[in-house]
Amino acid sequence: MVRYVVTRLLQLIPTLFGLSVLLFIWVRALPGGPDTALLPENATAADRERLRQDLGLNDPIWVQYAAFLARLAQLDFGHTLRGRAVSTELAERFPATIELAFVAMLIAVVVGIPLGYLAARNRGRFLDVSAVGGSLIGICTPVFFLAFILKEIFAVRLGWLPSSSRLTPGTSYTDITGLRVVDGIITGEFHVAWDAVVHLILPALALASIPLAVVTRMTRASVMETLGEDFVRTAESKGLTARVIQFRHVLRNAMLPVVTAIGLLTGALLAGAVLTESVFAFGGIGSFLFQATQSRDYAAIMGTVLLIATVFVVVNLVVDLLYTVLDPRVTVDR
Amino acid sequence: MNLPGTATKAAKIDRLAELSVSSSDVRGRSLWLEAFSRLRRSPMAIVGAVIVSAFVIVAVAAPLLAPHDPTAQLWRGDVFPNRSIFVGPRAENPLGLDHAGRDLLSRMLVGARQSLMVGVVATLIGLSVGALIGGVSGAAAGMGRRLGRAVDSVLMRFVDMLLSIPALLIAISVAALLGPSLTTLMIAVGAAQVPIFARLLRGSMLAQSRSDFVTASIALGVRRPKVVVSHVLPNSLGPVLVQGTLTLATAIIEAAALSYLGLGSPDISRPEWGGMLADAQRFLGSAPHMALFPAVAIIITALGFTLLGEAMREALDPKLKK
Amino acid sequence: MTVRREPATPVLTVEDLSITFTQRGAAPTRAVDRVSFEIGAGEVVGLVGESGCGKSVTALAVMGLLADRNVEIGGRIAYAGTELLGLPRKRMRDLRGADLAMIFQDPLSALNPVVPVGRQITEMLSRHRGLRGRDADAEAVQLLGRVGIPDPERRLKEYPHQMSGGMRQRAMIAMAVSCGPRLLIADEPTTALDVTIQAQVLELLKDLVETEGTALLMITHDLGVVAGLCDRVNVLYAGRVVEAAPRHELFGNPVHPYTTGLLRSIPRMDGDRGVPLNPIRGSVNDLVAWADGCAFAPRCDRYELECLAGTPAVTELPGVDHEHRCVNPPGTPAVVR
Repeated sequence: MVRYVVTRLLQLIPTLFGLSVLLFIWVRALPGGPDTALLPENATAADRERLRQDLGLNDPIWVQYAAFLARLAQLDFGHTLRGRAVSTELAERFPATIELAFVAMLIAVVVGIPLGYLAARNRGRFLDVSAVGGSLIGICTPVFFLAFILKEIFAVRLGWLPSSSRLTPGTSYTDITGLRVVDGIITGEFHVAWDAVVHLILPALALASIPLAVVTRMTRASVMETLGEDFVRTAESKGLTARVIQFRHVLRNAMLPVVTAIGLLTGALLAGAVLTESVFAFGGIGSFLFQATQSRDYAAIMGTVLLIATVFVVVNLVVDLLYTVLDPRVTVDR
Repeated sequence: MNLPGTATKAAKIDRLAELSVSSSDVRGRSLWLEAFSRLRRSPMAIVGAVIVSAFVIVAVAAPLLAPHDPTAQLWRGDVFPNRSIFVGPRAENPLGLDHAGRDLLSRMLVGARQSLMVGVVATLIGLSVGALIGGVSGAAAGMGRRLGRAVDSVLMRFVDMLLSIPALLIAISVAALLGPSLTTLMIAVGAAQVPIFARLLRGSMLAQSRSDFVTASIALGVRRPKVVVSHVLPNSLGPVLVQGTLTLATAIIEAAALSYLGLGSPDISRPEWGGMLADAQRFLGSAPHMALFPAVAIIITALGFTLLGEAMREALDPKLKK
Repeated sequence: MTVRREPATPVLTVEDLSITFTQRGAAPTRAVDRVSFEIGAGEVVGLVGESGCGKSVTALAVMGLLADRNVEIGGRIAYAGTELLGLPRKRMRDLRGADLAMIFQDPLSALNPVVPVGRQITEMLSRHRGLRGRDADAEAVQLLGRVGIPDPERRLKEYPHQMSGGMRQRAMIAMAVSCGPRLLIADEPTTALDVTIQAQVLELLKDLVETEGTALLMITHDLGVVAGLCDRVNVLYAGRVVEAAPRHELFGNPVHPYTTGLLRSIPRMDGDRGVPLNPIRGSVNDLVAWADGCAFAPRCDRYELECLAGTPAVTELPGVDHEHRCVNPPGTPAVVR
């Protein structure tokens, strides 16, 4: 097991190395060159010369890359057009996105797995057809449009839920982890936690649409395939109760591909945050990337892409490790 | 009891032929024909195909169908009477006017054309670049020599790395480099699909090259490059075709997302559904029709391609054969 | 001659069993057509035929494991006098595993890959015998030991993929006999195993039947298995029993051309190498509906026009408990085509 973890960690190196090369090339290829692209339009010649010095743009290309790598290693992603360090911005905003993505994934899993399972058990009936149809529509709906619709209906028209930000403006809170719900519970400020939950509902629902659709369809397909497996028939032949057959024999096996799918969905979830956070003015890295894209803030774009890609790779590593626990066959196959 | 002479051989054969119910009537039909016949019986495929063909027809015939010039501002006397600059559906403009007073139906029809173009070109970009990488990689791995394996492993590391960046972020990065335009949309959305196609083609080529018939061909002395070209590639086409169809759906949705992020086409004379939907968000409260029609069009079209793609996947999947 | 035990009530009675698969958009297919046989306690009955002849479907029907939808079952199946068809689901669930148990062909796919083998045995013990925790584990160890698995305590915690094919099938058998069933159905239990292991597994089954008096329904396409194990044999072709007889009678005096064909296609160690093997022509796919005549006619060397004059009647050979369904059996002049 330890050897497996080490191997998998070592496999991360080429991936992250390649990613850094790609981002380096990307920065070089920016319109007007990095010194123009990374500075605001009103930058002075002195600003420009300082950046050229910082980036070492007068050095040979491999020295530039080495310097680039060194800066990445120190989590120095440069400065936004407004002059703040990208890493500081990301550090401040990332907890909000984690909170949002976690709740969205929770919705996807808690609703999607039972729904997919029931759809598979009732193949071809109304529930199945509507679950499949609903997930297809979910996949085909632009996320930002869904976010706007939810906001328009539940926040603007009905006024049931807040339409923007993470807490009601003016609420005082204690910041420990940056996760408002968790902080509220830790400090005993339950009204803060509740307020944060209420603010999470709409953006999380919008963000959950695609993972929910994927988890539902994946569970359905996987359960259907497992139901046809020989060992399920064996379990039936043993006269086990329906509950034992369904949980221990069907679901236990059917969940394996779903776990992988959930890992792969984290990427889509973090990217989708760009489309939902901006609608709800939810101050995570999604809003940050949205603003960066609108204002062509390349340093911010690069930092966010790197962060999301790294998180994605790490989450999938964790899922792979989890898999060895869930599926006893995996470690031996290696 | 009949004696041998009384029943002629011919009569016996005829009678047998008449009563034989050979259950192997599908024998000899090709995989593709069989898949096609299954496709024709699938309601999912039929719905998908109807939507897709309607979309293509509208897109191609858009200039003929559009009742108005999509860039002409049509409001005159009717703008301010009820203090709203928005004109909803009415007789001469069945879908109403947009915020600049242009006929929404005409813009939708012309927009279908841009959306189709974005989808098709993006898919072709993703497919061709991805197929090139995946094909080289798969063929190299299939050859089995040391150099081949090295080429394969380098290319696949690269693809894996690209896969670790969510598609939308690849599209954003590419679009940020190129600046907003319709061409950018196509390239950005297409680039995001490259790693998927590359992985897919390589995977299915490798699966094929491990199959018994390829082993048999090699054992019979057929040269490896020839095996790859004549056996492995054609058999890998199915999954690529399925993915291509599904990508058309993704492309249309992703183009909308990029437009929303301000990376879409700024050219008002060539509207695109995603861009129209993104623009309309600002007026959602006062002019919901402006968002609704492009949104519904995007959802239905994407659904059409998804249904068709999924039905094709099912039809081509040998595991699902009865 | 073997002495056939004749118990008062057979453990299993199958009478005129017909199974038809109906599917929307396709013609109904009859997989099993009026099959009848009985099995007494301690008796081994073979169901022999090529794949697709309906033998496995028959087994699943007895176990009540056929799907509810798209299947029509006619005739009767009785276990120790209890009618199984139409028995409430819950009652059937209680019988399954406890009174009727089944061993499947491929133990690797028939065992749950992510549940330890021991757990797959103890779950049955707790369901039918109320054994839990350490008691169940101890019983499982004992069962594994009994089917010849060395070091059973350790094996208990292993997963199926960690065992060899023979071990897995032994574990499967341990599982099947764990609740002392009176009827055991073995569906091609040795097909997926190496030849050397096959003999061991058959020996184990034979031993179980002899010591416990279990009735065994042996489903196989391998006449070697039949010869080694079965007291009585039913040969199935296209869903019908074409010949049924005690083992020695069948091997000594086969009547139906399909049976003779099966016997002739076994390669023999002591045979003359110059004599070619004699496979049956064609495949099960070429057939005639039983209503029109003999389904085997298209593949039969002895085919005559009268073979196609309606369903062939059952002919009984007097005094030897041997029946067959051939219109033109050997002894009448064969026509060479």
